[in-house]
Amino acid sequence: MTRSVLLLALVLCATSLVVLLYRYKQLNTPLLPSTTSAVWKVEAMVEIKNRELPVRIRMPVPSGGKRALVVQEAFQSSGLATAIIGKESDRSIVWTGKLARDREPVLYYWAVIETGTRYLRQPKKLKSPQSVIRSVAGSDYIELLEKFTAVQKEASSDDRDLVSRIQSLFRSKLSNEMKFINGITRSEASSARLFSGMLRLAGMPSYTARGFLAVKAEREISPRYWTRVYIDDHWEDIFPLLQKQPDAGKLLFWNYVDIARGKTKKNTGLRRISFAVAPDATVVHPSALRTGQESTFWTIISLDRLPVSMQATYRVMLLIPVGALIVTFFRAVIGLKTFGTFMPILIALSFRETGLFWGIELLGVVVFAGLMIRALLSKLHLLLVSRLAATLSVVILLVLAIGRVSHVVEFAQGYTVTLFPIVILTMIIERIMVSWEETGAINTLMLACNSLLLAVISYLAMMQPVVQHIVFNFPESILFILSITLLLGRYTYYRLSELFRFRSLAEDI
Amino acid sequence: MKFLFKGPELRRRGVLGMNARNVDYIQKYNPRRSYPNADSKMRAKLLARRAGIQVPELYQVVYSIGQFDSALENIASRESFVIKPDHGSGGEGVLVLSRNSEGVLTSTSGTPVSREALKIHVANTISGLYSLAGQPDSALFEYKIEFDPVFEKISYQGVPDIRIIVFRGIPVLAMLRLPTKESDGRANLHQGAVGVGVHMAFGTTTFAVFSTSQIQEHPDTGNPITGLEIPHWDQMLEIAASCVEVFELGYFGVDLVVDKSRGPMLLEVNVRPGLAIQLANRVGLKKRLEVVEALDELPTTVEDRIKFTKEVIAPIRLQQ
Repeated sequence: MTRSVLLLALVLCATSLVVLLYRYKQLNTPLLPSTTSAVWKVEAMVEIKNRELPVRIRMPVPSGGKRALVVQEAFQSSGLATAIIGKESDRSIVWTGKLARDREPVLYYWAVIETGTRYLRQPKKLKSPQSVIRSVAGSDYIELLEKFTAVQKEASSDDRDLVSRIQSLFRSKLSNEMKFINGITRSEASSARLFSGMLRLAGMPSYTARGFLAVKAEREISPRYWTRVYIDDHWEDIFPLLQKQPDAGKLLFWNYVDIARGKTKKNTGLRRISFAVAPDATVVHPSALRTGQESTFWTIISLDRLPVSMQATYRVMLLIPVGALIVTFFRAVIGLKTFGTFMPILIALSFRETGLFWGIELLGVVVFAGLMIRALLSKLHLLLVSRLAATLSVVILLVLAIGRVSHVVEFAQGYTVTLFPIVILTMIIERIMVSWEETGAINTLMLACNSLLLAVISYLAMMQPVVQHIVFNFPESILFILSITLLLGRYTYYRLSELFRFRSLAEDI
Repeated sequence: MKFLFKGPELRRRGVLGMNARNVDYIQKYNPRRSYPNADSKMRAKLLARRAGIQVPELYQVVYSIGQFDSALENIASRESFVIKPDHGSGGEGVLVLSRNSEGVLTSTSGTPVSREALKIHVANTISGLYSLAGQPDSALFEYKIEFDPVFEKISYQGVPDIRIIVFRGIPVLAMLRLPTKESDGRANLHQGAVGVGVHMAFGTTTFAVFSTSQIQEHPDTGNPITGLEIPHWDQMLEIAASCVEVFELGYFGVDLVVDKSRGPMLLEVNVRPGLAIQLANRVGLKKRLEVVEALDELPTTVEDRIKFTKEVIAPIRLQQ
């Protein structure tokens, strides 16, 4: 028996590793998650000047469609007529109407965006370089700049050299006749546009892009403007004013059009638009697979080709074996006793929504309050099923109450408590109560602490970016987990707790 | 922290761990289809009675709460009785009741139990509160043991019982379990009962453990609990040794009680007997199991099995 288990475990383990390595080599999926988050949440906050007057606000939003970098988006309309118009790279959100009386004069648009610029295409309609220069610097300088680029092109050895020569105009000391550029370089937007205009004069495909440079979570972030240029068969992102170019993996592209352009004729009643960014851990690195390769057997098992909403489900599902492995380990090797075998995993999964700190607080509050009420119910001598059902209803009310109270006091974690598995909470309360009556307080508290401890450990393990990355991008790793689980199933050595329990038998008396 | 390195020494002394018990004995020697023979107390009772083993008389079975009133009427003439879940474990949900001088039902501690509370208890039992996997259950009303006076001085309320572990028909290890105040009258060690080791050949008590410490006297009554002779020991070994054919199990524990007037009785059969029995006896269970496992030919008659227990198994101690 032991031998066949070993053999099976070995086969599973080998299969898992072979498939994993093959897919790693073949499909170039990185084995480890990239250190910087690849997906960011951007929030645009649109403030309205006067709530009494009707508004019409149009704000460009990140491009959607098939190859969009936008993973998810949502908006808050606050009673206004709201629509996202246009398609692909030419999309805007439009709010029109009059604000409801009881609403804050603030509108929101959220988007979850992948970093990088790999899907961007050149805008369909581009103004001529001359008109770009005219709009930035004035028509007086068109001729001068044409001459300048022609000279640079003549002198340059290759495209890259040409780009850096033109870029030097924005960063080095300038001759008198070029001094006018100093005025332009005060604005990142103008210099980016001028730079791309000059590159196009020199015959290089180029355009400007707008977005954000995402480095860390920021409550107030300014939109950035940069130039894209086609060198050596690919597009490169260049900030003309910067000496050291930021990593393209940190760019969040928003739109080709000016984002925060508030004071245009198109918008009425807008006070200002501000942006916040935060890395989004709930959506994991979309791997290189999505670049639209042919479907093969190996890419079929790649879950990151699925729609994002479906991915989220698989992402959670694939973490469960990790939790189960930990629970198995703590059972068989450590000998930790908990309420219910897999209850700690379910608690751990619910911590995903709330975060660890608030998760424990909320769990504690709900379970404690639930126990109080359950104790009252116990006095009524109800039948088991009705008592469970009654506890369930009370738990739902508690969760609702916590959610509403925290909404009123503007405490965001309160929302997520609703995602706590309510039936699980009820069972926890019932188990604690019965165990308290049957085996006493100390034993019950110990079991509760053990369960919580195991939940925290599983949570911490399941939340490891490496773990999430590997089980999602390489689902075959579950076979590896399975093989270890099988081996643990044949583990017949003493549990750690038993070494303590039986320690007196190891000594002579 | 020294205990962390005691694994090899425990192994050398043949101490059985939970993992090894589950994989090497319970799963290997107990066919799944035989589990209900032990897990259902009613079934165990019927099987035992058919085989001529004495069991506490079953007065009444309540399958649905509608039968509660008639059940209570039917046992109105009984001075005392016990209500237990058919599929209970660890002594949970067991209610011992007797009538006081006014004919009112009281629990072991003497507090009156109302008819309504009783009904709730039975209803909870039926809905599966105390059953192994929470599945619907039934409630058994049965004879309450009037235990032998020998045990009166060494138990606190409740009924003391004798657990014998039987492997392939051979009784290998036994323990006397004494209820305490802490265990609330129940005889389960993890609930705070005292475990007393029993010499397999003579039926005398050897060591005793309470919680995790070695003791000599009962924690509540203060009377000595080691060096006592358990009455009807040979009869108990006989019951244990004859169980293997009855329940078709390879590794199990039998719980026996000694009734004042009727002698030893089989209370229940346990497919997953606990391991604290090793602490009470200061004996490594694995060492004894291995001796039985190594037998090419098992003794077939009850007499031969008991002989094997007394001559070969009983002398196997911890320090060897």
